[in-house]
Amino acid sequence: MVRQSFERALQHLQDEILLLGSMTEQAVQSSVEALRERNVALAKQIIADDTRINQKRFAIEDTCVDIIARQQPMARDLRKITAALIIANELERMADHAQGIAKINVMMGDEPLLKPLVDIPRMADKGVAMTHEALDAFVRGDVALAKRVAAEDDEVDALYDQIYRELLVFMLNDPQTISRATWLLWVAHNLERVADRATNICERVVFMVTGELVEYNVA
Amino acid sequence: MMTRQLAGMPASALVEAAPLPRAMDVKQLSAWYGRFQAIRDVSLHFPTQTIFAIIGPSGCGKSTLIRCLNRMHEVVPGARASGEVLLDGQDIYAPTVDPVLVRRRVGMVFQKPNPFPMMSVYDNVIAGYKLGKRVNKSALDEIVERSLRQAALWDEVKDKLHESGASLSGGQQQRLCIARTLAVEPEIILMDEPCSALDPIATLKIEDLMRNLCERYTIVIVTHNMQQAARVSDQTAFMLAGAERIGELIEVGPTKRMFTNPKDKRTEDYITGRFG
Repeated sequence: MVRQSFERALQHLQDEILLLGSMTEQAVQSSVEALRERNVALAKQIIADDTRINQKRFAIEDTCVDIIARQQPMARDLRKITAALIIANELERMADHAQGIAKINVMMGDEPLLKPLVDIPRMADKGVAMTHEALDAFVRGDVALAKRVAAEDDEVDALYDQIYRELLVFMLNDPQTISRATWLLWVAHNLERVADRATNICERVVFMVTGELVEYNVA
Repeated sequence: MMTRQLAGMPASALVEAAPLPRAMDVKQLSAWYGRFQAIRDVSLHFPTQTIFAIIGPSGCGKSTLIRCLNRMHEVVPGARASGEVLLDGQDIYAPTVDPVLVRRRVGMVFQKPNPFPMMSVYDNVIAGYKLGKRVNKSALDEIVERSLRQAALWDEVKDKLHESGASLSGGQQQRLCIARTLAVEPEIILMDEPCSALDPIATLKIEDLMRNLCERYTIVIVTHNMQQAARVSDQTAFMLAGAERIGELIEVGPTKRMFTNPKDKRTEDYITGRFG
């Protein structure tokens, strides 16, 4: 095999993306877990850990710039590296949504949850599963999988609409619940954005493989 | 600083050392061709087990510099150098040092593949090794195989060891020349534009080979091709001829930094193609 060091650099980049992906998935999952348990200590930990995720994203950016400058990638290799740059950004922003959920948790203080969480954990599970599969599609260069995952965003949007309507009913019936309902609405909004970003990753996978820029994330 | 006439140095006190990677230091090196000064006051450290690239436009003195590192510069009539070139702490220009031994310890691969055309592949590999030595056949066989393996050529030529070296492709010939250099177990390998006569695939093969070799050797490469320097090296030095056309060292640093964030504007202009 020629260009061993280039191949090693690309493999390293892919490994780093997967590592960032698992850190992000963990953050999203834990943020909802902490909310469900009203575990403020865990929420604070998630907020603190976000720095590590940001650093990992910068490290990936640095790796990409290094490969572009030193290995002069072309064609699919070049698209893979530009895809990796954007995917790293998406993952880091997803983790920011997890941090957002953790901040809401801290902000809620001693207030109990408005209602037991049902659809919000479902949204989180779905968003995390989509992210995981989108990264599988990235590793395998699997366009069909990327398209399938992108289509799953509709399910997350539907859950968000359902939560929105449900919380609206709470607020209309009892204005005392407005602040607690709003907190949950923010949480749901963060999770809806997580799934949007998973869809963005799918778009990058399609670009990496085919060279076509597609938009799946249309309202 | 002492200026010396380099040709005709007395015989050696250099002991042939075990082939361990050695660091090399250049201190305040200047070099002339007759009255024309080619490089001025270059100081560099070549660490062990690294690939060190020297880049710069034509006429910047990079080839002169590398030729000073194994006393090849002095073979040009009227050429001289001043300053120090320390191999493992010892000045290779010290009056007691034999230039022939220096060139065994500091091997060189040239721009154009130059196997001896009348010699077989086998004889080409041991051409340098055998100089002035009597060696038994089985030891030679071992050296030939080891050198060709290190040069990533063994599999391609093992069935035609006794055919002419000139029958090989350009890329294979260059790897044969690398094998010939490796056979004498040098500590430092100098490469002067080793890929400029090769096609892109043969070039990439040589670059892979260099990466593997640098685990055991200190490699210094001079190249016009800054993309090659970016791909293959750990450290990069940029040279430029100044106002009086004398080559000077402008900037040196880790290759990654040199190609992503050079400190000197002249380096930036050169690597971004905005030179002149």
